[in-house]
Order: sequence, then C-alpha cells, then structure tokens
Amino acid sequence: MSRKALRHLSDEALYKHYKDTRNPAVFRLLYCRHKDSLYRYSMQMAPSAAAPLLQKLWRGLLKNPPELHGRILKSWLFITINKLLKHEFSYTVKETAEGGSRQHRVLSAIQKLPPQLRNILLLHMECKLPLATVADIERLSLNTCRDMYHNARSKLNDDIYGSERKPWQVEVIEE
Amino acid sequence: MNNWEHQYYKEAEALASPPQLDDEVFKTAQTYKPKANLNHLVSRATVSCSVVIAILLLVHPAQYLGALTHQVSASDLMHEPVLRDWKDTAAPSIPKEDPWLKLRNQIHEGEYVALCHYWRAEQKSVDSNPLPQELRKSAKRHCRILPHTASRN
Repeated sequence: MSRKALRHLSDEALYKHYKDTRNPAVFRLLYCRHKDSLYRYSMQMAPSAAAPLLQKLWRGLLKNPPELHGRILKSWLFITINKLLKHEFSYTVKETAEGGSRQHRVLSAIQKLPPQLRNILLLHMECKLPLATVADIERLSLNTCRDMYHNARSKLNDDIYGSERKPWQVEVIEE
Repeated sequence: MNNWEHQYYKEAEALASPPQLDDEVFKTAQTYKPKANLNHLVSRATVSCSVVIAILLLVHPAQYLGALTHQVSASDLMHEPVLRDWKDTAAPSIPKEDPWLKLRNQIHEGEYVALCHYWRAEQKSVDSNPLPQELRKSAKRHCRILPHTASRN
C-alpha cells in the first residue's frame, strides 16, 4: 500500500494494517496523528510523569497490540493513558497547582481546577472525546458528567475573567 | 467558542510532543520487525512447486518408457518382422500330393483290381497305410471277400 493511500485511511484501518504488517512506517503515521494531543493531555494532568507514561503506553501497544473490538482507537488511547495517569494524581495535584504564568493564563487556570473537573474538561475539550465516553471513564452518569463539565467551564471563566458583576444594590430604597 | 477557549488552543500549541520522546518510541517500533507476507510467500511456493513438477514430468525418463520409436538396426534388417507384409511373406500353400490319386483314378475308370489288392494287403498287415473312408467303402462293395481274409472283417 502506498504512503498516499495510507494517509487516507482511518485510525482504525491504519492500526489494523499496522497490526497485520508491523510496518514501522505505518506506526509512525499513526503515532503522529495522536502524539501531540496525548502529550498535551498528559502534561496538564501529570507533567512530571507525562513522558514516561506515554512511553509506557506506546511500548505496550507495540509489544502487544490490543484488540479494539469495534472501538475507536483514540478512545482506547485516552482510556489507557487515563488509567496510567490515575496512579500519578496523588502527588501531581500539588505540583501543578503552583505552576502557571501570565503568558499561559488559560493553562494555569486549568491547572487550578480539581483533578476530576480538569480531567473531564480536557478529555472533552482537548481530546475531543464525547461526553458519554468521558462519563464512562470517570464512572459517572452522563448528566452528572455534563454538569461537571459545565461547572469546570464556568470556574475557568471566573478564574480568567473574574466573577460576573452583581448589582451592589439589591433592593430599591424608598425615600 | 469562548475567548478563553481560543486562547487555550493558542497556548496549548506550545505543548508538543518532545523529539526525544518521539525518537524513543520510534526506536521501540523499529525493534518489532515487519511480518512476512505469508500469502505472497505461499503463492510463490505454489508456483515454484508447480514449475518444478511440470519440468520433472517432462524430463523424467519414465515419461518415455515404452514410448520410444523403434530404431532400425542392421540386425533388424536381417530379420523381417513377423507381421509386416504378412500377406506377401506368408508361406505359399503347396497342395499336398494325394497318395491315393492313382487308385481313385482307377476306380473312376471302373478298375477295382488295384484297390481290392491293396485292401486285402491292408487287412493282412497292421502297419500299412489305411485306406481313406470312401475307398474302403467302395472296396467293401466291389471286392470279393477271400476266405483267409474274412476273419479280419
């Protein structure tokens, strides 16, 4: 199969082709499609452990390519990296909460979110996973997950732009 | 999309997978060698086997056992084949001489002396050539039975 034809294949077809052929060029193509979003997600969830965990994820995939059973490859990648990251949460929360600068205002605001809200926000916004999948990952009902996602967004909004202005006078004073 | 969302994607662009990590992963990928295309190999093996079998069948001497054309040698020319031109080479049928022809002719002319003489001599000796059936019949009919020969009939 030519390189041009490979580029037009879906993730799943490309992955199946890699599994059948074990061609490093095919893997490179697949890796390049997901490496940045995986890295961004991992870096925002556990900066110090991101690189080794990603290495572990890809090594596992190369060593023993999993059966997708009709699932989307991207979902499998983020579900797996999420499982690996959950072991790192205990110490990374403190570490990331202190980081941040004026240049990366949004990134540092995201770091201030509680881990679960941050995870839900990033999985949906950065990784483009549907909320139903995110709810499955977090083991929540879809409604709760949706509420938490909106909660994370409003918190972020408040943190970046400040809370909405409220009238200083709540009642009309009769003279 | 909110303003902060636009801002987020701008800031997140700086977070790209580091080349060291990519190199490590690619190095690991290189350690897994590509699988050989078995179907391709099997089809190649099948074609090769078929070609070898075809060559063997064509070249093998057993193919020609019993199928060689007869080479005419000098010795063969001496001995003519049995069936070749059998009509021409068949031995001519030579009519045998009838030993009783003279006797038959005499009977035909009505002379029975020689026949009767032979018949009586035959009856006397055991080893003599026996008369044919029709001559014996005519002898019995025409020849007189002598007293010293009557005992044999």
